[in-house]
Amino acid sequence: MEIFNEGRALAFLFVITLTALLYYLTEYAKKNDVPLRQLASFEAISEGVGRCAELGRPLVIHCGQRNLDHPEVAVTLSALEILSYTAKLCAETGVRIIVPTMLHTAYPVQVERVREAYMEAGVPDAFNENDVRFLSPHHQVYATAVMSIFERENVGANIMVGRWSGISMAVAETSARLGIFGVGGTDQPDNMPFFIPTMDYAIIGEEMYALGAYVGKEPRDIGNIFAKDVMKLLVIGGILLGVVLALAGIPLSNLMGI
Amino acid sequence: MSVWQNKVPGYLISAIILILVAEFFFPVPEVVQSINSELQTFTAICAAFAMLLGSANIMKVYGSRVIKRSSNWEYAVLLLTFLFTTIGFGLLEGTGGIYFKWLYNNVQVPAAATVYAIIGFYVVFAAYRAFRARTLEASILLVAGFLTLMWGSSIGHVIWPGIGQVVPWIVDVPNTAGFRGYKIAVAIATVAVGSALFLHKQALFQKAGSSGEGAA
Amino acid sequence: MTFDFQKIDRRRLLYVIQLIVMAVPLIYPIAIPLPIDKYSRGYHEAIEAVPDSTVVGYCNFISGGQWPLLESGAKRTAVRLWEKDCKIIFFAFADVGVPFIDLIIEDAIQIYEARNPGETIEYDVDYVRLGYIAGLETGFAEFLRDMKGLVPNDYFGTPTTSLNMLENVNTGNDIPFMVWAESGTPAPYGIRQYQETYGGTMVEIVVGMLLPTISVYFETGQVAGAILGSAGCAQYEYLAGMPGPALRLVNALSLTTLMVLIALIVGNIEYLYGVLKGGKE
Repeated sequence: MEIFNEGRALAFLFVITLTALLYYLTEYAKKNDVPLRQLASFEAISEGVGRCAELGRPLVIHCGQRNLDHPEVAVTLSALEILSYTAKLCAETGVRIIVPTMLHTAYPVQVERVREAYMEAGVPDAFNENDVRFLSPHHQVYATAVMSIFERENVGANIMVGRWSGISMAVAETSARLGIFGVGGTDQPDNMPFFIPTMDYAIIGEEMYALGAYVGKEPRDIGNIFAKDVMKLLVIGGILLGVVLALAGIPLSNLMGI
Repeated sequence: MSVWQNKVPGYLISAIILILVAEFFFPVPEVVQSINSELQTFTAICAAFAMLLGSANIMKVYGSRVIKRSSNWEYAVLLLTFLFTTIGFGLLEGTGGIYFKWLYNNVQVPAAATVYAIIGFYVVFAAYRAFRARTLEASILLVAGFLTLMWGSSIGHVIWPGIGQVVPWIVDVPNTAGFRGYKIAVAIATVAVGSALFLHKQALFQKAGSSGEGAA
Repeated sequence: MTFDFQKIDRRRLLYVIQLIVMAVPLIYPIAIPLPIDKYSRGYHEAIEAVPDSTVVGYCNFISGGQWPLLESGAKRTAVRLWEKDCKIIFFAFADVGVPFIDLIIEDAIQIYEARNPGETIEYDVDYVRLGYIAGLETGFAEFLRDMKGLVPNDYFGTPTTSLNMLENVNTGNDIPFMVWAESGTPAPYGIRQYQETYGGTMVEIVVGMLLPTISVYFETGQVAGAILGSAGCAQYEYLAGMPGPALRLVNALSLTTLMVLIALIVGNIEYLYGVLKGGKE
C-alpha cells in the first residue's frame, strides 16, 4: 500500500522539516536573544517619519497588491508588520498617516493594525479611520488615485512595501518628481529596477521578510526568520549535494519521484 | 480576549490546514476529498464577498466627504456617480449589457491604458536622471539592463547583430540562477506562512501579546 | 532675444522628444527587421503542435492597462486554435479579465471569418464561456478537480452539464492545452496547479517585463512558449501569417527603446563628467 501520493514524499519531508524548525526556533527565540543583522532600511522608515514631523506633512504607506487570499501572501504579512511599526511611530510623533489600499481582503486588517498602533501610543482619539482608504482593486485606478493623493495632500514621505506590478513605476516616479522621501520594498525581482532609481531607499528581496520581523521584534517573527534561514541553508546543502552527485554520474532526479 | 476570539479561530485554521494538506500528500478516503472540495468552494465565495466590503468602504469614505463638504468634495460626487451608474447598469442588464460594456470599453479601458502608458514616459526620465553607475553593482546592473533593452528592440539587432547571442546567455544563466534562488526563497516563505498558521504562530488581525502566540 | 537653456525643464523636454519619437513611425512606417526570439518561436510551435479538435483552456487576466500591448496576440491565438478546429473554454480568475474575453472573442471571430470565408464560429461548438471564477489558486485547483461542480452555469446562465462541448470535459485531465494570458503580476499558480499536476502543455501571454520570470519556466519546459509584450505579439503575427497592429507598433517600440538607451548614455556621461570635475552628483 502506498503511504504517499506519487512524487510527494520529498515535499512532505520539506514541509515537516520546516514546520519543526519553525516550532523549535520560535520557542528558542522566546527564551533567548536572537540577534538580527542591522538593516539600513529600518532607519529609513524612521527618517521618513522624522521628515514628515519636521515638515508637518502626512506620510503615505501602502502594502502592495497581494491580497491575503493569494498563496504568495508572505510579503503582504511582512508589509503589515511594517505598517504597524510605521503607524506607531506616526502616532507617537503626531504625523498624520494615510494608508491607501487596493487589498479588499487585507483592508480590515490594515484598519485594525493602525487603530491598535494609535492605542499602543496612547492616542486612540487621534486615529482617523477615513485615512485608511480602499481605493480600487484595479492597478491603474489605484495608481492614479495614489498619485492624486500625493499631489492633493502634500505628502512628505511615501513608503511602498509589498508585492507590486508594473504600475509601481508610475507611483514611485511621481513621488520622486514631487520631492517626496521614498522607501520602496518588494521581494519580486521584476519590480526592483523600478524602485532602485526612483526611491531614496530600496528594500529588496529577502530584506522584506526580515524587515517585517525586525520592526515587530516579536519572538514568533524572529523565530520565523531564523527557521527560514536554516531551511535555506539546508536547501543550499541539498543543491550542492545534487551537483556533486550529478557530476559523479548519479541521477539524483530519480529521488524526486519518491 | 475571550477563548472564542483568541483560540477557537486558531484551532479551526489548524484543522482545515490538516485536512487540506493531508489530501495533497496521502491517499485519503472519498469523504476527505469531498470536504476539501467544499472548503475550496467556500474560499471562492468568501473572496467574492470580500469585494463587497471594499465597495462599501469607498461609499463610506467618499460619501462622508460629500456630506461634510470636505475639500474637493465635487470629485467625490463624480466618483460616486460613476460607481452607482456602473453598479446600476451591471445589476439591470448584467455585465454583458450594452450600456455596461460601453462604459467599460470607452471609459475604463482607455483610462487604464493611458495610465499604464505613462510608465513609458517615466522610464525615460528615470533612465536619464537616476540610473547612474555610482557603484560596481550599479554599473553591472546598468550594463545588463542596457544590453537587455537593446535585445528587446528590433533596432538593437540592427545596431549590433551579436546581441542575439549575448543577451540570451545573460537571461538563461545568471538571470535564471538568480530567479530560481528567489523562487525557492518565496516557496519557503509561502510554506512557512502555512506552517506558522498551523502552529498558531502567525498573527493576522492583531499583533501578538507578550506570550508571543499569534491569533487569527 | 536670447534663449536660456538652463531654464528648460528637462523632464518636459524629454517627454516632448519621446512623444515625437513614438509618433513618427506610426505615421511614416519604418522598415526595421524583426528578430524572432525563442519564446515566440516556442509559442508558435506549441500552438501548431496542438492536435486538431483538442479542448483548450483559455484563462484571461489581461486588463485595461495591458490590453493595447497584448490584444493582438490574444486574439490571433484564438483564431489559430479555431483554424485547427480546437474547442476553447474561456474563463477568468480575475474580474478584470471577463470584459476582455468579450473583446477577444468578438474580434477573433471577425478575423477568423475574414480569413475563412463561409465559415462561422458557434457557441457550444467552438467555444464556451465560464465567466469569472473566484478564489485564485484555490479556485483554480478546484476548477481543475471538478469543473462542473465549481461552475454549475456558464456565463450566460446555461447549466454546464447541458453544454455539448463540455460533455466529456470534467477535470484538468480533459484539457490537454492551456493558454494563460497574464497581466503585470506573474501568477505561477497556473503552472503549479495545471502543468505540474495534470501535465498538460501551457503557453503564456505576458507583458515584456516578465521576461526574467518566464525564462525560468521556459528553460525547464513548464512553459512551452510565451508572447512577451507587444514585441512578442508582433513576432507571433509574423510567424502565424496574420499581420496586425503589433507589427505596426513594434517600430514605435523600437525607437522608444532607443531613446531610453540614449537617455541612459547621456545621463551617465553627465554624471561621470561631474565626478571627474570633482563636483557634486
